[in-house]
Amino acid sequence: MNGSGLQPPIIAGSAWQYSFFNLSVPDLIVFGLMIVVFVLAIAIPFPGGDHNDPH
Amino acid sequence: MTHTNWTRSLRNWIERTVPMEHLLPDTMPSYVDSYVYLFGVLTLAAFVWIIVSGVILVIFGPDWWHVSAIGHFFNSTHFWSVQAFFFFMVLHLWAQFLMAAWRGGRHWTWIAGWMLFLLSILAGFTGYLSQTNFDSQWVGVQGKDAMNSVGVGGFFNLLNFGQMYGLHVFLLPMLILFLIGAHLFLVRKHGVVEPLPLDDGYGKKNRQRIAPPVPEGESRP
Amino acid sequence: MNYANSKYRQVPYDLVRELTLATAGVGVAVLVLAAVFSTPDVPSLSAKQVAQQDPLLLIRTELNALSGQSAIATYGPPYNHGTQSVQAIGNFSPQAWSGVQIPVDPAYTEVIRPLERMKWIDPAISGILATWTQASESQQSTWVANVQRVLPRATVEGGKLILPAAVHGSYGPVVAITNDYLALANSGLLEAAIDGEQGSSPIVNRTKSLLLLQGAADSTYAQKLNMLGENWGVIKETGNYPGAVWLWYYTLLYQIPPYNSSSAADLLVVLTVITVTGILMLIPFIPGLRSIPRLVGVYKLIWRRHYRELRAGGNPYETRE
Repeated sequence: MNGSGLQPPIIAGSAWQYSFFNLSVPDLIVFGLMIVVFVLAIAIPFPGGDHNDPH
Repeated sequence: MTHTNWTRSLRNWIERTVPMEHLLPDTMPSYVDSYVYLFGVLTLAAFVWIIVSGVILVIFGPDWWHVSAIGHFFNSTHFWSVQAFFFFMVLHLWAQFLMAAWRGGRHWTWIAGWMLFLLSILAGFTGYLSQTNFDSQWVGVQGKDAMNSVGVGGFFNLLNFGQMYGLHVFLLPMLILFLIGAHLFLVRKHGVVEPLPLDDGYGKKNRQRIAPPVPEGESRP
Repeated sequence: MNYANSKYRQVPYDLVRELTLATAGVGVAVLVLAAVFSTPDVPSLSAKQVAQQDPLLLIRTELNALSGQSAIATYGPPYNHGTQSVQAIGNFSPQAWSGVQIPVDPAYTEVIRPLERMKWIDPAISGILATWTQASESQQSTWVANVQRVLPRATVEGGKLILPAAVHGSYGPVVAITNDYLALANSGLLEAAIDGEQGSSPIVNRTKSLLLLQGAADSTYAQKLNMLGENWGVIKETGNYPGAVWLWYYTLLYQIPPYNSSSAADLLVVLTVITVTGILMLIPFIPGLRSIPRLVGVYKLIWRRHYRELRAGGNPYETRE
């Protein structure tokens, strides 16, 4: 297969390979960003929430 | 002879189920107090941009974006809207799961959400197949085996561009739109799910004094 | 008319404003992402490209189709009555039950028929094809086998297949057929000639031309893009762009036992995904599973102000109304 003269116009995207995992780096960035956004959404206090406090 | 007025029955049912102040609320319970509540509306916002960019792409036809820089830009807008759509939808799913948001008779909202997720995957899939480039070629020839293995490949033919394109630009968006309507209707019908009861030692000392009348719901084993 | 949650203290909220701001914010974000990152667009792999970049690959594909040795020739439903690609778990085989719905006989559909259409341009094609179709099946196989045997030493020059002189028997019309096929591919009209079998708008349904290159040609190309099945390739986007991340779970199954060694991998994976999705959808009714959020306890963080208020002895419940 490698010897074939077929030539795509771009080179393959970068990927992280471990055992049976072969995940594209952009996919990992998106997934990492999902985790970060989710954690921040929980961690950062919602503005305007303070005036709800009883004191 | 008297008979029921169907129109009046429907109107009464709507007014009973989602009165205007529930359909378009100007207050929220004080516990609605976190950024995680925004993931749903952000998903909806991304959907709006998917439709806007998609309609522009449809007007000019499926080969436009290969030959025009403006077309390519709208294809890019469509692509990134889809990424944003799934990004926020999955976060919305995580948040609703972790809040056990199906409690208090909200199980149909949860099920409708899952159906939306599945339909969106199908819409995204038919979108990949409608690109008329190597992505669609490769996804089609690889995916066909899965469709064939479950016996639907002869009807739902991934290699039939016309069929995939039609499903992608009309039928699936209509179904998603309808289900979004149902999902939002149910959300507004039931209101935002109440916090889980403090039944695990957290704040237990107050439990006797202020027994929260939370629905026991389906979250309690 | 009250909600169950009307008993909680209500705070001001503006649904329409929130929706508008969210739409504007996401709009700006996707416009910026589109302007900065654009999107990939790798053109489809065409028979013309294969004919020009690796003509012997196209010839191998053509000969396999012509002699009924291609994966599609022996595939089974929905394309034909083959059995090679029919998946079953025991006697459970929806693929076998579905029957032939898109008839494909690669020798005719992918090679003979598109060449027949060319007789209007080159009448000599009719004679060549007549020699082929009038020969017995074993004669046809022998001709193709003879060519295939010497193919590793063959070259393509000026769009013509150059073979060593036939030592064991003859090549029959196979070399002529192959040269016409190469010419048709080089013209860029092969796909249209294949798909045009069924109607006047071949581009609308490209099933049959896509099935021509679905084997070695597409795989070779995909491999150079790191998009083979074992590279989780079906969910990958070409180049450095995010793909269908939401299908990770589906694609993961293909990489692990028992799926990765099963001859019914697709069927098993699809059934597993349907089952797991059904369970997740019905989680509100499944004891144990529906308690996971309570046991995980992230809700305590999400609603921390509410619980703090409770703990401090405050009353978060509505007293008005």
